[in-house]
Amino acid sequence: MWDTFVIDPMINALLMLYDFLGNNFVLAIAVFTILIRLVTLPLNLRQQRSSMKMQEMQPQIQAIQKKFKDNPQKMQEEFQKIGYNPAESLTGCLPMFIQMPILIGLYRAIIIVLGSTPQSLFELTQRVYDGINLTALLPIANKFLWLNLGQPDPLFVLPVLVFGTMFLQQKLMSPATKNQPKKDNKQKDDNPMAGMSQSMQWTMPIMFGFFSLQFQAGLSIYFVLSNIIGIGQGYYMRRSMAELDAAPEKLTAAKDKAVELAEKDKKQERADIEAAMQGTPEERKQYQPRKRTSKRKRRSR
Amino acid sequence: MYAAKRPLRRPALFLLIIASYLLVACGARVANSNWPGLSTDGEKVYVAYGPGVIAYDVETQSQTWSFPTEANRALQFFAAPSVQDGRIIIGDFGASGGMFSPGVIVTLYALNDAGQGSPGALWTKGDLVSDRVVAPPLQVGDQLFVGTANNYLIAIDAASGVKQWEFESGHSIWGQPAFKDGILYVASLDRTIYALKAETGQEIWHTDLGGALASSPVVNTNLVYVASFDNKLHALDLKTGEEKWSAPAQDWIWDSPAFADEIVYYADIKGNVFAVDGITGEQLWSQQINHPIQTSPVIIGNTVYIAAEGDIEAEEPRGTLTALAADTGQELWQKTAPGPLYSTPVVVGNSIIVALQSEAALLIGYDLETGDQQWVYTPPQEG
Repeated sequence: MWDTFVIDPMINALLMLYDFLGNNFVLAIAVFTILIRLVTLPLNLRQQRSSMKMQEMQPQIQAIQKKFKDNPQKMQEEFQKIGYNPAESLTGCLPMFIQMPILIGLYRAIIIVLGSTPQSLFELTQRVYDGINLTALLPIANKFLWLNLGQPDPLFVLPVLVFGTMFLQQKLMSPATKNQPKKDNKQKDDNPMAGMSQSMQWTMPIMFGFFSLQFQAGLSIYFVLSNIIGIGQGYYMRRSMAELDAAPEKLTAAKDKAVELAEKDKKQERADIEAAMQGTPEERKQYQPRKRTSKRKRRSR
Repeated sequence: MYAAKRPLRRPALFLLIIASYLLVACGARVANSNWPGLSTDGEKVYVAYGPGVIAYDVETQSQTWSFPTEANRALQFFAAPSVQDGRIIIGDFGASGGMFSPGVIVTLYALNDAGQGSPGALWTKGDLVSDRVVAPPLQVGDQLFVGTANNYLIAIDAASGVKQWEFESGHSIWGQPAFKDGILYVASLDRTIYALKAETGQEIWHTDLGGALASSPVVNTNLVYVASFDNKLHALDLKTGEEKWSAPAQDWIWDSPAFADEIVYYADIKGNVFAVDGITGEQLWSQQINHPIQTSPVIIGNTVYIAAEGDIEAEEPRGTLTALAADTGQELWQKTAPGPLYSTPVVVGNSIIVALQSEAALLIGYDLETGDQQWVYTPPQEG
């Protein structure tokens, strides 16, 4: 089941890409990474948006927790009022969990495709779909620059890149804390979201950087490319969230201006009416309201 | 309600770490696994499989020794040991250079098995090869030739362990080189067969063929036969490398052909066995075994023995050992083994011995004539 639905499709996708991309396995991995990222993009964006939103709500959430710590029922009601769902905070790791089967599958797929032992090559023959001419594709070119894609990078470059790019990605993916005052440890404990983000920021890059010492170079390349795309995605999310943050301020300013203009119009109108009332009957008949400076709301039918 | 959810975050992170660990653990099993490597000196059988190599005495039906003497799970052995005049050459699949090292240390061991008991070490070298040894090493006199997974053929002084020369092909070398009259014939996965001077490593000729070459070439008086993944057996001129003829198969020919009495026998991974005239390539007969074959045929007298993968989809996977009449291809008998057979059998006395990729047994001896099972050897379980 796992092989049929995860590993075999990956193996065949990699082989097809390898065929289309001029028998370049690194290019095949690169395009494969982009495809995987596209598939998981909606989930990643949703998770990131939700965690940023939750981070902003933290002061309110903590206040409610503090106030109703002895009344969970009331606490839930208050959470609902501000649009906070505690279960959503658990989805922070979801994209990583979703990626795990993909990673494990890819790890095995790369090993099998590169066929570094007779057994793994024989296994490959039994997994290839009809229509892929494996004879024409073999042997898979396993050399790229100084790397043997089926072996770990002997020069430590890829583990360092995996660590660096993953750290940057985690940093950009985790909610910004620039508007919040520095927290001491006790406050961090009160804010599990921030604690979780911070521990993830270091744990994941260290862990994967360390694993990359033993990973085949092909898989480390996948990680680096995937992280670079993640960095771009995180940067985009930050910018769009910042724009959204700025939007209500602009709206308020425009609203204030509109109210001011409307007030001014009303005052002018009142002055005109009073002047007209004090004039002759002819003048009263000729009275026409001035064109307003402020815009009226157009009513829809 | 909320209070119950908060403690879940730490387990979530913990689970993530465990899952990441599994990522490494699951793959490692596949990365360094292969089927057993089997060889013989005519009396003992040598099996390289997993963490060690064992020597098994067929006459006394007992394990003579195992190497290394202290089990080391970090080491993996799969290439069939090379045995010549009591000198055994073993290459491993490489051990990690350590938790913080991306390097792999592959070691060659030369052992002296001339006496009784455990063999003495002649030399051990961790700096001669830099990638796993899949091909059985070849000893010719005092020269040793080792093909590596990172494309090299390395010539070594077998007595001292000093490197003499190295030759780089375009891809991994999985087949033992063939030797005749001072010339080595090396098949590489890069689809090319190379003829090299054994003394210097100088290339004499090379010929590109249509598919990857995963096995050892076989030499005749004037021809070298090499099996290919292009579904053909190629016969090339020994002196020039010019292709004289090719004989078809229905799928990849994984392992070497066998040559006897001017007839070449070979098998494909669809389960077909073929016999062709060794001079002209004309097909004499073909026979269907019905199971994928990754091994070489073994010819003894007028019988062709074929070890095959068997039914691996069954609840208990079973390999098959089949005996065919060498002149007609007619099936004489077929026996099942309690595990898939991926290694070419060896013959000692009146036994044909198979190595299994199974926990049920490591070695089984069958009677050459009748196919009756003579003995089974299962290594003692550790701890």
